[in-house]
Amino acid sequence: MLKYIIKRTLWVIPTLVGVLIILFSLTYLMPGDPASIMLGPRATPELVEDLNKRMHLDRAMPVRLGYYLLGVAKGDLGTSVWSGHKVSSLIADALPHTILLAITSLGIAALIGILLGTFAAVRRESPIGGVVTIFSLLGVAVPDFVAALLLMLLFCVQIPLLPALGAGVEGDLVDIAVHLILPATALGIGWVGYLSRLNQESMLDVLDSDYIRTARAFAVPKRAIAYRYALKNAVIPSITVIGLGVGKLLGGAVFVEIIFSRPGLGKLIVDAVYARDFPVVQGGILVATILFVFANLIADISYAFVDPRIQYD
Amino acid sequence: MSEPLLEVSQLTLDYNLGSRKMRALDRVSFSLDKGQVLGVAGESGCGKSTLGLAIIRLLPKVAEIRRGEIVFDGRDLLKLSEAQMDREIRGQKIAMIFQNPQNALNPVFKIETQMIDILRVQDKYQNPGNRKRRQDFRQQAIERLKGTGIADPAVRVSNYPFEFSGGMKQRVMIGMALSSGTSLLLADEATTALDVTIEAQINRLITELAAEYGTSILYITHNLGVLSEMADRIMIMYAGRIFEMGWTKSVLGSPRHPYSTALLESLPGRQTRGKRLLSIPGFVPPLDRLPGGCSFHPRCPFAEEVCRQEVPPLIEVDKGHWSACLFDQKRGRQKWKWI
Repeated sequence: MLKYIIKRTLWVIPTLVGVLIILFSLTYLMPGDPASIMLGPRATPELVEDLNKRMHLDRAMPVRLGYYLLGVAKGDLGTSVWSGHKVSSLIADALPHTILLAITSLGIAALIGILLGTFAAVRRESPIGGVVTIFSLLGVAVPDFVAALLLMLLFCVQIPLLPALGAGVEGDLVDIAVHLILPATALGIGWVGYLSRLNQESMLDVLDSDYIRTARAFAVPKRAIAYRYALKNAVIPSITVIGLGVGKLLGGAVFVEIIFSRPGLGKLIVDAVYARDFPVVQGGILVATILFVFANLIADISYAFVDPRIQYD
Repeated sequence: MSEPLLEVSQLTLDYNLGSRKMRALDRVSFSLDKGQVLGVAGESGCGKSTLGLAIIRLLPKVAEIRRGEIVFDGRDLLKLSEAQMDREIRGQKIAMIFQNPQNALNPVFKIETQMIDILRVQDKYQNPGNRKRRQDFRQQAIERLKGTGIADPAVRVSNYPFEFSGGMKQRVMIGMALSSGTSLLLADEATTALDVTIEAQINRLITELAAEYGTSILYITHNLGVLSEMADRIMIMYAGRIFEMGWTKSVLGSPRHPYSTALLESLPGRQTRGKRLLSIPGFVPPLDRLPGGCSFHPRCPFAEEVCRQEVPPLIEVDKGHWSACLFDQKRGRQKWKWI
């Protein structure tokens, strides 16, 4: 097991280097000139040249890539062209909010989705299965930004129960939690539907398998068969999907963060794109990618805990 | 001897698939004595597996038992509740091992976990109130594995199924299934997926353990060659019916039904050396489109008009030897010899 974890973790390194190179090349291709954005249209050629030199913008692309990689290795993601703040500190401010939002929504969605799907599969004859299916399809069909707006209209305007904007006062856990309810629900509702559908299907498959018949032939109690023997097999596809879903979730977080005016990585990146603030875009996407890579790493490792066959492949 | 353990009578069963109705078992009656091995043979789709699943009551939901009784140990299993089946029958008095050992064990749990769960269930019903520790069950699991000839059972018990070969997995299954309390073992094509040498080993193991515990076996297979070695009696099934039934020696030595004869002629053997093996023309008819009369008549070279009209009854043609062929019953065997 340990060998597998180490091997899988080491694979992260080449992935990240590849990500860095692609990311750098992409921003290189972006239109616009950082110097004129920073200094404004009326800057003298001398000033522009000076800045270009300071930021190594006058050097060839591979050299600039080298400088960039060196900077990243030292934890230096550059400086915001717009505000002059360090990109790393901007991200450090925004990241916890996004991570909290992602973990809360995906975590709760996974728990509810998987349980709902399992339940629907076990009770396939009863109408509960149909109800779960309809609910799931509804959840999948509504995009997260629509869900966000609807939830906001309902719980902030029609029935003003929950706060509409912001992430709550720092340090006040109750306030933070209250501010998290609506965004997390908006972001997670599609996942509940998706995961419950997925898990229902794989559960139905597993329940028809030979080893479940074996367990039944030996009078293993029905509940143990469903929630232990079958679920552990059925949950495997969901784990992969959750890992891959983190990427999609970060995309969804952009809308939700904007709608609820929450500080966060998504909002940071979008604002930076509007402002042509290249270092922030670069840094933000880099961190988002790292999140994605690590989410998949965690998924792969938990995969091995669930399915012992993985680590020997 | 001759004390019946299992008596199936007039068992009739349909699969309801939408508008289609398939009769998978049609008035199946037989009995199995204590300690006896009854071999059930026939081509695929003859209702052999359905019979096994009906006895332990693990039929799919679409199956519906129309009539009949399955009397086991003096009680009709069809009248027991699910809870009673779990408490007293499944895994206790009747155990079942399946075809394709590759999929019969749960891939994501260790052998010990699966065995301990089953042993715990058995213990719960056999000695209620007597709480054993996990360690005791684990020891018991190791003993069971040892009994099936698995080398190094104390280590192997904590392996996962994918670390075992097909034959070894079937040994694990046998270890789970057979104990001193088992009175009936249903073996459904238990060795079909294995290669021939392993098949012989597993069959020997089943026979030995069953003899030790006094367990009767319903051995379902399509391999008559295997039955000649281990079965006391043989039952030939075709399209949900019993075609022939009797002592192994008489069924294999002087079969009375053209279908049984054809099955035997299609086996390679000493007498057939150098000759072409028989292959029965056609295939088992789909159960929702069974031909009228004798269901074998479209494939039977001896079929006459009467075979298309009348359903042949299963009649005792010799002492302890039943057959369901009109032609044989009316004209005698000489008239329809295949060769």
